Amino acid sequence: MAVLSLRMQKIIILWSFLIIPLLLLGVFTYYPAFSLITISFTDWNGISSVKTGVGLDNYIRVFSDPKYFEIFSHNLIYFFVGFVQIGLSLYFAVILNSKLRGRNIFRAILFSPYIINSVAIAFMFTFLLNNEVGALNVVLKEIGLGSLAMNWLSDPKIINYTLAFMSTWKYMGFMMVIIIGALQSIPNDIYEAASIDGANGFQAFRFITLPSLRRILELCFFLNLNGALSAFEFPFVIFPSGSPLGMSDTFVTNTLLTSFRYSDFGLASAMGVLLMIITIILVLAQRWLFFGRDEK
Amino acid sequence: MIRTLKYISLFIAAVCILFPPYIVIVAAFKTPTEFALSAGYALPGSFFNFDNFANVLQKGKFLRSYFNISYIIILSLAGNILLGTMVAYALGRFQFKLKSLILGAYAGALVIPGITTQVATFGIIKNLGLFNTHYSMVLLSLGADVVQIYIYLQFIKNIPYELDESAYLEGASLFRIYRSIIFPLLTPATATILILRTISIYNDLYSPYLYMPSQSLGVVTTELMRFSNSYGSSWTMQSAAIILVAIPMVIFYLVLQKYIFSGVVNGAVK
Amino acid sequence: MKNKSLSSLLAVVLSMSLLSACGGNNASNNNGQSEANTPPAESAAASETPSTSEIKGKITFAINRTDVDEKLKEYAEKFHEKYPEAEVVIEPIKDYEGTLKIRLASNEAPDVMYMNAIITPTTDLWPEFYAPIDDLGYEGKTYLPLSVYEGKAYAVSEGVYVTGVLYNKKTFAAAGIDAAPKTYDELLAALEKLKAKGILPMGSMLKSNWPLGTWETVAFANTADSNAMYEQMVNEDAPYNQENPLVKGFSFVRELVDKGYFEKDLLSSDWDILRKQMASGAVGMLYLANYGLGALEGTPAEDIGFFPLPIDNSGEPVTMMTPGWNVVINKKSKNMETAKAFYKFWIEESGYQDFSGMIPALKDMKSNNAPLAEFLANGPRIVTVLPPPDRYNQILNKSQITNPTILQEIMLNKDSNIQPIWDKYNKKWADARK
Repeated sequence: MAVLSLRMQKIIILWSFLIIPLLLLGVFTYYPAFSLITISFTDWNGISSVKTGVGLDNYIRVFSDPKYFEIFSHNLIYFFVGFVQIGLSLYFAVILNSKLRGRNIFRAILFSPYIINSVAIAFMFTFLLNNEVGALNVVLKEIGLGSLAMNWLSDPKIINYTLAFMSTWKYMGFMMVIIIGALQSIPNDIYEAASIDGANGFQAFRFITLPSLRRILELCFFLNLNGALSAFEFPFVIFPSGSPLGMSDTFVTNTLLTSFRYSDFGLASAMGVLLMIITIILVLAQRWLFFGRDEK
Repeated sequence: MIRTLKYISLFIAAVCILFPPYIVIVAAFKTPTEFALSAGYALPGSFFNFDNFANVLQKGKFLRSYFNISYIIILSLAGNILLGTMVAYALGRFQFKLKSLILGAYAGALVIPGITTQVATFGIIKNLGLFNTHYSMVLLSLGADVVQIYIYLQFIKNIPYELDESAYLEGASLFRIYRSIIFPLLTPATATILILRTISIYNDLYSPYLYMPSQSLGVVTTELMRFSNSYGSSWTMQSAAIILVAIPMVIFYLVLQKYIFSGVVNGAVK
Repeated sequence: MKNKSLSSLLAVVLSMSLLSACGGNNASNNNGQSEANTPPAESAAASETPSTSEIKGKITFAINRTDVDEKLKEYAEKFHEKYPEAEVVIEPIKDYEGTLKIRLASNEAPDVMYMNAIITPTTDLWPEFYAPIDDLGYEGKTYLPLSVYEGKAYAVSEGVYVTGVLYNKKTFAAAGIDAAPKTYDELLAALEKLKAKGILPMGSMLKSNWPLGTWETVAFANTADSNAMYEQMVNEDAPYNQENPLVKGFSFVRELVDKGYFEKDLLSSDWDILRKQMASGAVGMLYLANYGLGALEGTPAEDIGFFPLPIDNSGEPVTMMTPGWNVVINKKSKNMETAKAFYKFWIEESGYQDFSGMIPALKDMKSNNAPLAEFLANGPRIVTVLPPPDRYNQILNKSQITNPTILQEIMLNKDSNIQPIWDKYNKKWADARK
């Protein structure tokens, strides 16, 4: 076999290795996104073969309706609770990466919620958190903490926190596993060298672990922001036809109702496009805020 | 002292994590009347009451649904891992003009609200003639997502570049380097991805109903959710169903987890 | 999910003939029918189906029930038995409306399916997607009118429902209620007795949203021709005024809230919990339709009672009749004759109506459901509730108003001053009408 030059090989590898994945990405992600943008300028009802152009009408409708601000305030709750999740994931990842008896069992336990499907989780929590017969309130009352028993899933002031913590419950272990993965790739000799130089555990964490986790933490922040803005699975499973008083509606559950319930695909698409734009802006802002100073 | 604190925090977390499933597990062993009368956290009268499980199993066509989902998972993961490692190799080992654009495209994909673009996606699957076949779901889960790319890139960064260089000097082609060095050394990352992807495909309820509604193509989740309509379903049976759906994934995770955490760097350098 | 169709409906008072047909469905009303002595399906198959040899090939039918596999298999086998060269594949679908919408838009819809205003939002879309069913000869034979657009019929509902109050006879006896209430005062007295016993008098099912559609139909109880009401509403900028039947109906519900007959915590009130609490006697009444008869898990069938909701003191019972799912045929079906044969089979012979507690769609078919027969035997006045006109749906869709959502707001309002809520909805309505 004739040996090709390195340059030639590189070109062949890049082309042949990237063409199919990029094609998939284009066809199944970017083409639908593009069609979303086109539909957002029409009054399409989701089924008819006719789509009439309406210009920017759909965008104007979103901006002139104050209810979307309230809906966004719900997404904001997911965002802040998400930081608790990142903190917990990081904490348990570091603990469970150290030498600890039973760490495999704890890893498995903390990861286990991710295995269960969301419909089942929603079912489990509605069952657990029912204000009268739910086990949580019953237990709280029995151990004398009755004042903490709340209408977890029916009090408009609490429900979004409950739903956000359900996400934390499900995804914390997942994030932890990703972080452990990254921790594993930090060579051990660095820590050994540091400990010879007299660094304590916290210093090692601050000056070795954290910097090495920069990329993965950036991913976590990105996932959190994106997850918060597009949160929908639990509110949607619990209230498939919209929540009473809109108390737990999020931007995406409202988009789903707008399209599939109210046959307003034009408006729903505009909402989808706006969600993309907002996410991109906020991701860049967050990135600059957290990582801006030491950016390359 | 610190060790004790670690254990206390782990213990609290474990309780928080396990309490909800515990409620479901005890419910699955209760009879409907027992369930109605006892507190949610109370133990069932007997852990040998398998009626709910038997009922659920009777209603689903399990062999077929396990076959269907396994077929989908195996095909799509084979493709997914192959394509994912290829992308990782291309992006992780070479510098070229479009690199940051491609990385950006993967990150950007996450920003697109997939659930609202289903109409367009369905049109593509339909035009490819894949509606109501296994391959609709295979194709939809073939592409790598940004989490996968991140995990691979993180790992590949820590595979010493000297390995590539020495192999090249010994006359290996770039493809051979990918096949015999990069691909095998990415195994822990691959195991992680294998688990994460399998779980997400396995638990996907939406796609099977939309893309393969034919009953002979039923998968485990759809098969088990069939009777959980808001009409005649019971909580005890639903609890049993949840457990039955989760068991294969729990086993799968327990078997694979040791591969996830077997550090990549140590293995490569030794 | 058939209940969703309740949320957008219109009432017409039905003729007396329907009344009696519905009321007894016994030998007396078979007399006038030409097909009285032969089972309707056989005669229909003989007269209207071209010939059995054309009934062949494979068709699909999409159904919204995902919990009755065995039954579906039974229906498919029964159909195959009747037409040995034909085969039907029944697909159970979760999230029916969303899925069907996507499939219709992509030209990948089943041969026979359900239709409503969520799937095809306007009636002018029917000719684009569905085949006319005029040749099946249902005109004039059904309780509820066929779905007609520009002179052609596209759908008949697979069955009908009547609204009423579900209760456990044992619970009533325990609270000292001897007979089902017949007037509004008797209803209040019964609710009061239940309350005094510490039993939740009436379950609201507010959290579940869709059961509130039943309360919506209360609006129609006193109207002679609510078609006029909808026509009037679409021509007004502030339709929710004191004369509006919906406003009156919702005020009726609000009064029950003020009297304390519903849950204190309405937001936790869940159909799925309440239907099971019937058995233990924790809840007194649930206002629903006959589909609820088969869903009260744990309550023995002989203990279940069902009576028309008394909305006034006239003593004249009234019930609202609402359609089940409308069945349509895909215009692009490759086996049109088979699809039509299955259509007739589903409506007339499958037995699905009895199984799911519906009243069959055709007047000359008998319902084999006992509590239902008892309910109808009392001869309540029947008000039929039909889909509203396109324009009404369009306004609701654009303003994202649904009547159960309005009712949720009214029931949850802190005090009985609900005018601000109506003002808000009047404004939304006016904006959407522009």
